[in-house]
Amino acid sequence: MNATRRSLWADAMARLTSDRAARISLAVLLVLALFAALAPLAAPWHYDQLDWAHMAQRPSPATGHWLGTDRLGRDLLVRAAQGLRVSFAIGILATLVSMVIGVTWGAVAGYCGGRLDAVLMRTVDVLYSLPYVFIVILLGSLTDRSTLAVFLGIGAIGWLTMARVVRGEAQALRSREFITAAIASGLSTPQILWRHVLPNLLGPVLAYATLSVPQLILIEGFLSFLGLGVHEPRASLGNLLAEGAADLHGLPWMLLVPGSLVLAIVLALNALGDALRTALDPRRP
Amino acid sequence: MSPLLTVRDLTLRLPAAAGSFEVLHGIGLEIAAGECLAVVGESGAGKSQLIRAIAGLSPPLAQIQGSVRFEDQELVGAGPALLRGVRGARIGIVFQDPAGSLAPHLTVGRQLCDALRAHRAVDSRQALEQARTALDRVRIPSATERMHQYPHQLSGGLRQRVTIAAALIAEPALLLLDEPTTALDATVQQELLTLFASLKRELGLGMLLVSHDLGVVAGIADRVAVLYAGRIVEQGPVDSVYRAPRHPYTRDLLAASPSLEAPLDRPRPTIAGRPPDRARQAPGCAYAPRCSEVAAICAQRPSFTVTGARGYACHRPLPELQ
Repeated sequence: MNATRRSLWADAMARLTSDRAARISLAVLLVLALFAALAPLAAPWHYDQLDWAHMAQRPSPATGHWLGTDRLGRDLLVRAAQGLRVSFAIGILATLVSMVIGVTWGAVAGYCGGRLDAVLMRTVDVLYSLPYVFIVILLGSLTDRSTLAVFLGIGAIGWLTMARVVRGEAQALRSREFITAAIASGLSTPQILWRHVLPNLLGPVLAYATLSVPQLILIEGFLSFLGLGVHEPRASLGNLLAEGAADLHGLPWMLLVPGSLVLAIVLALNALGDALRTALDPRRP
Repeated sequence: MSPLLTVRDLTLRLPAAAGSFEVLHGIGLEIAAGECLAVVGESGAGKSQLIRAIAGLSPPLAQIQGSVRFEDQELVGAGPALLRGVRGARIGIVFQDPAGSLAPHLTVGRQLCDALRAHRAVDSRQALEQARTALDRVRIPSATERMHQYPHQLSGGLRQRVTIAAALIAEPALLLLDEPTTALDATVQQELLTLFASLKRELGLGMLLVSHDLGVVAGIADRVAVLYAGRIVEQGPVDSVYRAPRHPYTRDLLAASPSLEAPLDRPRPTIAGRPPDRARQAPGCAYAPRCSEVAAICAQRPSFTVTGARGYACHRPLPELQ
């Protein structure tokens, strides 16, 4: 009888941890998070500190620069950890922003339908057609190029796709019989949205959110590459990649290190998103 | 005593590819407290649409005319606030598919509490207590354990009992049953029929049962209305309609229903032809193309004739018994 009393969350977590791919991705993400949090504290170097004795040094434990240095003699390990912090923060914050706006917008549009749906989704279409680089530049110049503005700008792009994904799901939910049954038992529209529509959106939303984190990290990289995102000497995975790409022949580790970090994040989050979607389906045994 | 529910001249049109078509036409029904009226008919006759129209659950683009009076309130054209106050509180609805009509992500107890708290200002302890009572009322064994379970952990019969408990939790006066036993196997079906009969007796509920199964209807209904192509063709007390149908369609429907006494080596009689295409309605009696009693006059639409407790819409009714 004990098993039947477990909550849906406990069930979902049990299913998640019994999935090998999910366990590996969680471990990878945990290691990366610990690395990002602790490496800058433990290492003897600061992310913008120049080591005049070891410039453009290939990775070697002997010099004390385990992952090498760039042409200015800055330690790549510390800079990569710093970049991970910034990229994680941007990916997660921007995803949260896009989740809150996109889910509300899409759920209302998809569930209520009719004219409201048309108005809400045409607004999304119009915003889609605006070039987001322009919006981010605008936000950046209005707020004196703060990092928070970059977060908000990227989140403001992300919610458009989220709203479309959620609207489709909410529309499909609306025709499910348990929603009709909820209406028939006298529940109001806000109650139904909160109690029945939102929880059933959770699976697809989380799956999409885990996919959008790496996407937003890449957008941040692109913006940093254009000089609109995070500025030197601060590091993000995006501007590390940009620097590395510029020096591919001379200092290949400058591209390989941030490149493999991005790859690890993307693969881990994709696998986790996939496992989450299956784990959050309550009809599974 | 005035009836609980009075439906007068209810007509429902649904939008179609070209214009719209009539799903229900001129429906008239009455249900008193403690009485069960069954509506029978083939699939596509408009049975489920009738239940939905009464509860104001028709699709957004449906056009509804006529009147549905329930406890001295007009429900056709009523605002969402009034309908919300009536649904669940005064009218409970049980749908055909118990697996689909329970939310998969909420425990049984949660769903029952939600249904109750939509209408009563009770704290969560009282709500849980009443949810338990509701499960006891529909004879669910070990109700306390069931409260913590999710719908997928229950059998089909138990799920349907839970939806009945949810429909009854706010103590409605009228229960609308949309083929409540169709998705269940025969033994469970029998148990539920017994349950409905005792609920009707104990709670004095009015019931509107929609079914294609004449056996189910005979088990619990007091009166029966036969629906064909969106119109009521015959209405009356179950015993008398079953014994001596006046409309040829009712007779053919009864003859086609399976019986234990019928010899197995002879094929069961069926009604030749198909129900009419609803988008293209002929002006005359809708049953005429399939009817064995058809005559020239059947090209005109018959009016509904009422004699005593019985009523039928036929130009050439079958003879009364005796």
